[in-house]
Amino acid sequence: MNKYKILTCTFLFSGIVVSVNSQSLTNLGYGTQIASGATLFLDNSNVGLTSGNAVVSIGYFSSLPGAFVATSSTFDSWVSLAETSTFSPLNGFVSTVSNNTDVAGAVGLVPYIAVFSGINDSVNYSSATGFSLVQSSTWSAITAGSGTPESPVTDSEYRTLSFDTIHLGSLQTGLGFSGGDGIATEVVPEPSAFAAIAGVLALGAVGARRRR
Amino acid sequence: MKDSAKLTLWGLTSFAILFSAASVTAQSVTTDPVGYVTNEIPAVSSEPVYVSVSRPFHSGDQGSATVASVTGSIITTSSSAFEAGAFSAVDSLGASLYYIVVTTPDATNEGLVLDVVSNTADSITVDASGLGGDVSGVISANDTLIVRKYSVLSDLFGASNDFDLNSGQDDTSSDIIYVMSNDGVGTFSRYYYQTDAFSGLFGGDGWRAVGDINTDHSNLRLAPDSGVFIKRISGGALSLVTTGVVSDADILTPLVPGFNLISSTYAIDSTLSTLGLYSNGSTEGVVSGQDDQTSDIVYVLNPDGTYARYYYQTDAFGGLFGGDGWRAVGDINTPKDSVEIPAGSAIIVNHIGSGNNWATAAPYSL
Repeated sequence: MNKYKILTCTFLFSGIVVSVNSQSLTNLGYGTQIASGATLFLDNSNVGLTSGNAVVSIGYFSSLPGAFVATSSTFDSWVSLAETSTFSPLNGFVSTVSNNTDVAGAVGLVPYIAVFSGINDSVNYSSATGFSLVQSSTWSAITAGSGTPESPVTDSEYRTLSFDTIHLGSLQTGLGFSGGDGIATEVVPEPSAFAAIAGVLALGAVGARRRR
Repeated sequence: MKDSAKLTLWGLTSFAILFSAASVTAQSVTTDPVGYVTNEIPAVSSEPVYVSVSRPFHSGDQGSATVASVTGSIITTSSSAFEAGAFSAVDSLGASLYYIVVTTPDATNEGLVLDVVSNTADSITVDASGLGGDVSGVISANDTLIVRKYSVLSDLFGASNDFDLNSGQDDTSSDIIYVMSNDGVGTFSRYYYQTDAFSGLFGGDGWRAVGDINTDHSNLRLAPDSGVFIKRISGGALSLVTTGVVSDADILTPLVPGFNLISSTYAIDSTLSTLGLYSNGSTEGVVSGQDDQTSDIVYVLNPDGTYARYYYQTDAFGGLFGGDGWRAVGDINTPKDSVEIPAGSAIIVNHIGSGNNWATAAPYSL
């Protein structure tokens, strides 16, 4: 019995050593493509997002939410693999590559692109003023290599001219680059916001009754 | 950390030229200008270190001739310029150890390289398998050519592991030399210097392929415009000195679809711009597009085994999306034309086209 325990421990230890020594690296391309008809990312008012005031993040959910709702709580389990808050050369335009990115935990998953307006770091997602979440049906799962000639860094490509799966946000036809469409962020008030609105309405109703 | 190459070509070249001049009154003597390049391999701390190495030299011209006629794969020369059968040797994988270079000045085929299969005193049979068995479309009467011997593994690293790369009983205890396939697939064959601790019982000492402890690969050929990668698994810094005859011939380096491990054949430091990989709209060289997805990618090996990646951007929107020039993948705006490609290093080009040539001309005259 003790022998079995020792063998099991040795086996687990070996597994840990292997995982420490191997990296999961990929060149992660995300955003739109540089071409006529490219998608632009817009804010809640259908205006192109500006540098420093929004962030585009590619990532995945460590625990998939029950439903995609345009509230910050939807992103409680969001894992950002790479992100940018630079929109260049046009407002709302992102087409970039994060080279040699460690994607441990994401290999085999099809990622999402999330857009958070009103913040410049996805860590602050609870303060975002709007959200969009998109994918393309043509995307494949993330791949990775160890970064050696035997196992080179892979290319995982998620730059798409137009996104055909919009989980959050709204399609704005013709508001993209050179004939393309836009995808605007949206927001649904949190329950606390609903309560505040209800309170304001109640106070208004009381005031109206008193005036009568 | 950057792979640095020290070039001491011109001192030796000058010596050769001066020697010739001083000898004119007594006897007309010429000598091949030789040179050397030093590649510094950094010390290994915890993880292996990777460097690229090439030999921007050759082993001396074996002969030259003018073409009289071409029939199929047989090139007949205008004089008896060669020793019959002198160029029929093959390397450890059965590939020819000799090649011809077309040297016809300013001809479209100048720099074309073809393997030699066999020869007589006044003819050379070349490997025309990539040309349908007939080279008459690319070589014709009055073309000039030279014959050269391929560099081999021991030209770079010495027949007895002269630079003390890590050497053990097998590949797991030795530094590894990576040689890329030339079919575009991008697979690597791996070699190492074996030191047999059992007095020859397990394959003996010498250059071996991973998985084959017995076959001697010291004469494994390396194309004049290719290179190798080295994985150093432990130890301090090494200076790897590569020597040879300085090349002044133009070379057409084929870019096959897919991955090509290539190098400059000239012993001079270059940049992405001065390498001449992009040839301004011509059908030669790397493919250029609006971004990295529509362009050939140039991979420059980092010491940790990852790559820095570059492409030549041609902005179809009049400069709106970053303008024209060399760029790093992921950054359309910052010029990278001056990224250094040291003499004696090598790069990978992932060619997305159907096949091109990278035409290089000697950046000096001898």
